[in-house]
Amino acid sequence: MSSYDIGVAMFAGVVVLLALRVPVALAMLLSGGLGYAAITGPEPLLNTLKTLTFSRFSSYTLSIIPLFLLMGEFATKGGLNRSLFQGARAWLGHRRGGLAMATIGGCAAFGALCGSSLATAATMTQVAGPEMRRHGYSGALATGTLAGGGTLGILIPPSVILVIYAIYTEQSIGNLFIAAIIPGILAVLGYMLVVWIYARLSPGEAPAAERFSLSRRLRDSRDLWPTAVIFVIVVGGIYGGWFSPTEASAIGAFSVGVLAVVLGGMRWKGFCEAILGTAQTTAFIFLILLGAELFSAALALSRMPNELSVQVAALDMSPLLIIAIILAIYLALGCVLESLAMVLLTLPVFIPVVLSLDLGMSEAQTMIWFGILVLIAVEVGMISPPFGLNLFVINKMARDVPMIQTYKGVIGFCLSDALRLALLVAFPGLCLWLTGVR
Amino acid sequence: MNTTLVAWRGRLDRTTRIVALFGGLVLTAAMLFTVVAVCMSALGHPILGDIEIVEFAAGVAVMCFMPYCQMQYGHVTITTFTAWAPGAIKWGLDLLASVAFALVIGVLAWQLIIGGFDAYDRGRISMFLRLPHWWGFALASLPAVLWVVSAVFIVIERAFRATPPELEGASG
Repeated sequence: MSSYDIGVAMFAGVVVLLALRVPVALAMLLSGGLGYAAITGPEPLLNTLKTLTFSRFSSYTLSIIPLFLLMGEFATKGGLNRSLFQGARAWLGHRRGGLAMATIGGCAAFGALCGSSLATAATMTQVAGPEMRRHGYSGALATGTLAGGGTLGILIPPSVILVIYAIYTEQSIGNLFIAAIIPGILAVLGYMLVVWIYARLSPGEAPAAERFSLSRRLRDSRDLWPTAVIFVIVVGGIYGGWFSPTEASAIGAFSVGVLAVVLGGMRWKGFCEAILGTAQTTAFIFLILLGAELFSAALALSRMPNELSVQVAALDMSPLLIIAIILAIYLALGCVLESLAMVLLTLPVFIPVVLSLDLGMSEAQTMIWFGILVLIAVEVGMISPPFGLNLFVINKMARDVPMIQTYKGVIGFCLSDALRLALLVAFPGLCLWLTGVR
Repeated sequence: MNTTLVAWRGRLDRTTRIVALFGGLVLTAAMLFTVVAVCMSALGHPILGDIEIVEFAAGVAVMCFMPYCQMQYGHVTITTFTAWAPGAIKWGLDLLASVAFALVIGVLAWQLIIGGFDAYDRGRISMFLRLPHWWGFALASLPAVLWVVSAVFIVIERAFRATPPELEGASG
């Protein structure tokens, strides 16, 4: 068996293991480890493992992940979901479809504190779900909006997926965060437009809620200010080079923690819950990262990705067509695979291919732009029927809405995503302009 | 048999939770320390080797989270493709996966401990604070052993219980 074949076999192995209910991290550890051992023999593998585990877990760059997760948990346990939704609701709620727009706005604000799509969807469902239903919103629109809005958790920085992409491709986390801002704003506007059109087409499903006085509006939106300040400090601070991404995540977690205690009344019990939530997510992400490390090391040894990129180059297809094919693969995979595993498994193969294309951009520009495209593709996978994870989380919480209604409600948001993806492929400047990377 | 199982579930739940909370406190301490370090360096008194402390803390914290995640069935599994399968097949596949998991975790913990002895023998230390590398390995080894115990327990629990608690976690 040539090493190229071993590379191919590793992929086949992962797919089979995943299909057979093997946990994602274990599947990557197994096929990565076996592939490694098949190429180098078992001794070098064991030698690598002596230091690999602890050095991965104790990496300064990667410690940004538990800290951002902690920040998101503080935001959740501190009840910031409620106040952020109230803030958006005060300004938007009285319009037709306004509560759904407020949900999008609340999700966007929450997404500025939280880097996870599922967590955003789940926490916002708790507050916005009952509120929309109480005002006579249809189940389809309410759950569809929450699913779409939830993805703003990863689209708007900080974003765990983006951090991992940046670390993996050795790009600046700050640049990727900044690059995600315009696409994030486009997402918010696109989603609000979807709600607006939905409310036009079937007004009965999205009635207007009561209008608030100006003083009530100002009072209700008081928590939006500290959120905006933290966002600017964290994201701006990384980009402006005031502090390292890890420092920024520590400052972000600290300030959201303070906010949760002062505004949200988080106490010892809530703190422990936040810690345990962080513990579980951190553990499963880090084990996947460890598996991915082994997997990509073995894949690099097999030289399969390089040979593949040579083969792709030999096809002499238009670069944009290849990008389109890659994105289509992501969209398809996103329907069935866990997002983090999908990104980590595919990047070692796709990155050399993408870098070998002549897209008229510098290498750094290409990497940033491709990262945002991958991010959106992942995000679409989270909400596309039938298997999108956000849909399941919301369906579990909003038990009175049948899944088929949620599917119906989310279609508009998927279309909006597809349009945005096409827009960003056509105009890379939308990602690159703010970063100033050449 | 079942009462023994339940008793052990309770014991391990408590232990892994306490270890995870300890890890969380270490992480929180690293967070506070980083905030202080940033303020100090802004005031012109940077703390030398702050990165090493954060790395050390993160390594120990992440390892402390592992047993808890194991006990909570926190590692994401893709169940889409086997949704059609009868319960017995799912049960068998899950049992096999948990055996493989315990073996892999055993190898990881074993190599971690050997790596710690290596670091001790070679007397490797960190650059600024001259912290011995083996300290980190040694501190991480304790939760690693608990991680192995948890993984083995999960195998036994899977074997004796038809339907283990379905707890899901995901990243996206």
